Amino acid sequence: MNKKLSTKAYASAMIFILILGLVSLGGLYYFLNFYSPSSKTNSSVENGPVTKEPTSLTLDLTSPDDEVLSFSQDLEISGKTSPGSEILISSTDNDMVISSKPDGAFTGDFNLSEGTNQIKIVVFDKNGDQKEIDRTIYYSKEKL
Amino acid sequence: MKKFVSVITIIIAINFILPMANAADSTPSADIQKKLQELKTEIASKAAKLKQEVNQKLTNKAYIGVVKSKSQTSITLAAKNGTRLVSINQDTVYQDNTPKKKGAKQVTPSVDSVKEESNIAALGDVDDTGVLHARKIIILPSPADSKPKTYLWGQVTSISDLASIKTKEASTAAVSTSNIDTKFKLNDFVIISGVKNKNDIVEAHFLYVIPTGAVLKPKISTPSATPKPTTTSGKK
Repeated sequence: MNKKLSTKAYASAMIFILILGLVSLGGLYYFLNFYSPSSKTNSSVENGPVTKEPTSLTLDLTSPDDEVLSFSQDLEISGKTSPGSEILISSTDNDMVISSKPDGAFTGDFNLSEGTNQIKIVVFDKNGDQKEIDRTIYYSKEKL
Repeated sequence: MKKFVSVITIIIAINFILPMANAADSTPSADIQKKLQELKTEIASKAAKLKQEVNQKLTNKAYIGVVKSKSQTSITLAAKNGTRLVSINQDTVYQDNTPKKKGAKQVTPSVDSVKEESNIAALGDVDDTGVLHARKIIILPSPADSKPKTYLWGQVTSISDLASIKTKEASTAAVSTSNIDTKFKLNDFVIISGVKNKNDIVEAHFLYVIPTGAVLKPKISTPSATPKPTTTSGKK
């Protein structure tokens, strides 16, 4: 172990390690880019050209959930739709319209009747396109 | 050759052991530890919020539908969104909202009052399998044969005894506005809810004038899918 290394032996060893490292890196690169299944799904060629989805009227309701028991007569109705749309909230006994804000968010308090309330939430955009969601809410005056 | 192998071994050992030793020696800085702590707090807070939201979604629920089958411990309902299972026990309270016949004996409602094909509302909490544990069962009157509500969006094109509304589909709907007080004028864009009568006239219960107006696009006929024959002229 105390023998002094010759320059030739040291250089050969370094070159060998370098080659080993390069081969490993090359193998890793090949695996990640050409062999790995995840890399195949990300291929832009296989997915086709990037296209923008057509904008259409949407209606996402944050509140209320369906089949809810409410102990409050005022039910908060909130969600998100296209900006500047009109949202009709209608039950058998009551109707109201609220407008969505520039970011599409809307919120309003709807007056419930005692018992079962079949509520329809219909959004109309500037062109008269419409989308609707139904909710069944039971309003009980007395707490259980 | 022996020398060559020992040199490679020494170099590999130096290259591998030293960085590992360095890594083992190094401790995360105070900054990283602080960030980790913050992340832990944030995750815990989000988990608590999520738990609260889930609990909110499961408590105070109402299953409304027609009784399809019944036992002493459960009721199966045909609800708007499909079959619903309701679990009942000795603590479940019953209420009968059906109209009473004249001279009928006053009976305290019980599980026996719930008949098959009757309409009920089961109120309580839902477990994670979707079964509602009823705190109260309300026997509802049979739904009246009321006509479903109609919703209209369009432009007012004439006002007389009846208003004419030009809809998006370029059809004209006749609307009776005798039951509403809202003022509207010609060319206003409106949203109407009401019920269609037997003469196909919408009896409006609610009318809303869209303050910002709207656009009634002219109906354009869809071009035929068959391409027109084209003549090709080649350069000579």
